[in-house]
Amino acid sequence: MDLDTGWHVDGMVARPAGATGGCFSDAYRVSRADGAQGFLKALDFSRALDVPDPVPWFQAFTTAYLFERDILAACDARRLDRIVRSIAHGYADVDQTPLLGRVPYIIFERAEQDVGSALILVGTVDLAWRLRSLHHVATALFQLHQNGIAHQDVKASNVLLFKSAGSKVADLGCASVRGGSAPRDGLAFAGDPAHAAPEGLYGYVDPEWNVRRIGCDAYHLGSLLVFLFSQASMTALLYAGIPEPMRPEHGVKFEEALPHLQTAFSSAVATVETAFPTEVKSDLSAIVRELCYPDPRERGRTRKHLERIGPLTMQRYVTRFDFLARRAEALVRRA
Amino acid sequence: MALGHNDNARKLIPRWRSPASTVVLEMPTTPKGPLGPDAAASLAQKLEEWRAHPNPGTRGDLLSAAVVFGANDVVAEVRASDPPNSSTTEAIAQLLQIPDANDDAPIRRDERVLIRHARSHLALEPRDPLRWMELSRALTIVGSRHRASRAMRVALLQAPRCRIVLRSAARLAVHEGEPERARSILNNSGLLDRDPWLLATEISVTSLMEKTSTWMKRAQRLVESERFAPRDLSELAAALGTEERESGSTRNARKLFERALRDPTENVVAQAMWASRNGVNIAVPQETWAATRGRYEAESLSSYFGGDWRASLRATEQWFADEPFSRRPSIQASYVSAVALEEYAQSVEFARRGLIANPSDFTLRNNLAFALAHLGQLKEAEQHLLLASKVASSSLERVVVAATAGLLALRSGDIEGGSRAYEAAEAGAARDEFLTLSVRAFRALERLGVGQLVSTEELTGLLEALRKWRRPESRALYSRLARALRTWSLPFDDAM
Repeated sequence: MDLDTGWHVDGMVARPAGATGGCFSDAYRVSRADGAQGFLKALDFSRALDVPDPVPWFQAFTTAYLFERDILAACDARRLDRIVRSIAHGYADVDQTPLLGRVPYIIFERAEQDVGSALILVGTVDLAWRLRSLHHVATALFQLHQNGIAHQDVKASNVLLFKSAGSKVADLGCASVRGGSAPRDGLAFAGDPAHAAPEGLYGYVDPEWNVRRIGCDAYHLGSLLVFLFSQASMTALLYAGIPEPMRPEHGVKFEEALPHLQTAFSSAVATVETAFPTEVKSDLSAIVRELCYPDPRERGRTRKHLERIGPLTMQRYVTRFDFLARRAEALVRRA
Repeated sequence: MALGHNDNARKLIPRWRSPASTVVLEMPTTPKGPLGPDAAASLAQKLEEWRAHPNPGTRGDLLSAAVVFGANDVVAEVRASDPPNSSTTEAIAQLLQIPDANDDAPIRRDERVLIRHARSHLALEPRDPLRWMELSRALTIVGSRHRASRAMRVALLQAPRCRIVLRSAARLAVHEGEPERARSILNNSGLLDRDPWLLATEISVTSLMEKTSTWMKRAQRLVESERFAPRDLSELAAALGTEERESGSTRNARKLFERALRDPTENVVAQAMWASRNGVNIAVPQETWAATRGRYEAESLSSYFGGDWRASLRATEQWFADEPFSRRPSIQASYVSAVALEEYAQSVEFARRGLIANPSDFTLRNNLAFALAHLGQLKEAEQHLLLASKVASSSLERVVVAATAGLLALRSGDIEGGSRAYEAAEAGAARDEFLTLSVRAFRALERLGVGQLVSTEELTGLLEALRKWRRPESRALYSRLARALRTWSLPFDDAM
């Protein structure tokens, strides 16, 4: 099938693209006559037929689509090169059915695979690769934050690998914009519960945007680090350490659970350390302790600087991951 | 003579366990229902992705979701599929194991290991109030009081409004014999007007000081309100019930205990059992008893009141493992071992363990001297009795010291000295009929033990007198005297 934006649909991607804004999307491989490859995310209005209350569904669906389309355009305009670019967007006329026959789509630059899938090469995927990937993700978050955008759903499956460009962050469907409104702003946490920051799971919403949103991204970056070395999210490791009655499903308040989260966190970090290579163990542990600290108001502070109060910024993590990646790369070159 | 713990004035002081055990045993939990539609859909999608593309990324994503959603079956499925050289380290796999929620038997851990463990964690991450609290508990167990207080102060500074920390800090202050400090910790929290758990502790701690809490009316209003779940009001109602009993209003006490027993903690069940033996007409319903987890003290008391010494000792050992710093289980265990079971080596062991956290406890010191004397270790027994006599403050304690001194004298062959000491003990106990009877019974047993003659009239007289007292202590002494009579082939009525 040919699209009016000059792209040709080559075939469907078997793996589901996932939920967007509580709605459903399908994924396709697309290509252009000049050889460019792309990844198309098509929003399927026909799913509304299965929904008991379709009106709010349509509203959420279209709001999420428009939000993602516009925010991607903004990222593109500001040349945020660590965010997966949207190359084109438009409508595909799939049949003559009124409304449902016109499918809105967004075409993204096509990646090789996501970071999580790349971990299948564990053993050959070296430390330098993981650290460089983390450096790229930290850079992506820094770029977004500089532009008043918080991603809110960083996880391995949303970090895509490109042959020459390295890692880029995808899926801004859960993003939040400083001073603006986003479809998921009303939720305590916008992304995947399996990777959610603990305050989100307990429904705690800090009044400050920085603490609430940048804090969430910081946690996700730390959790991604944990995931790349342990294949478990920090949220799962934290969860496993919390006594059953203190879990969020029992209606426990965040302030009440926080002391238990602090203990679970300390145990989780001590355990995760066992998965870090010796040469970077202390550096990575320190970064996890700062980024994943369960209290968002103290996230990013170091043990030695508990009193230091300043806005949490990704800049220093960009520098630290870059330094660690360079060191690991140098080791690889020497070997 | 050996002494059991004072059964007359039990107060509802909170337990001090590990934070995880505390919440598991105290907080009500509703059984886990099926997953919500969003969680189920998300999990199904991840499961589908993992099955279609089994790689570390999809596996980790699925495992993380399964742990967060509590889907133990999925966790098991993923773990079972792990290749032998899985990149997930064993430590992480262990951490992600979901513990058996029903496995709540107290585990006696090596406190030195706990202390090292807590310190190493705190060195890396000092912002961990519950770990400071655990450090304080472990230090209390090994008798390092000053350090324990310091660690608890840090916990309180870091979490000044955390219920578990506040109740544990109050418990520590009571353990250190400073109920006034416990009261001030609770009052300074600013939470007493809204937290029935803290209020219950405040009322009990104030009562320990032989005062009446200024929060009584507020507490009554809270109990009568429907604002809290029955479990949340259980300790408060029992604390109020205990106060009502103290003031002689056993009818009100009964009503409050009935309320407390709607969804009680094990501490409330133990308190209700105690109250039922002390003038309050209350019984713990069978289904409540069966549903109460961690009821070691209640089990211990129940078997003790029923004269089942072995069962009582077993439960007391669990109670001691649950609260290794508390003097009460070690007193109880040393007493039952020595007096009811005549297993003196075991009694020595319990008394010694109790003394680690309570080095100046009179009863433990005396019971140790008593058991050591029976084992023939008279010199060491004398040293402990001397220490006990130095801390003896009440007339009861002075009577007990005199009786144990009598035992030591008789065991060392000083018949005259022994008689003098026992007579002094009897004289001191003159105003207390049961105490006098106990001193006489212990004296008779000792005289028989060292081969002295005791008249049949005296023995049968003692048996008759002991039979009148429906107390576990009298039952234990009765059994022993009865056994002695049996040894001498004298006729007696075996039933008490």
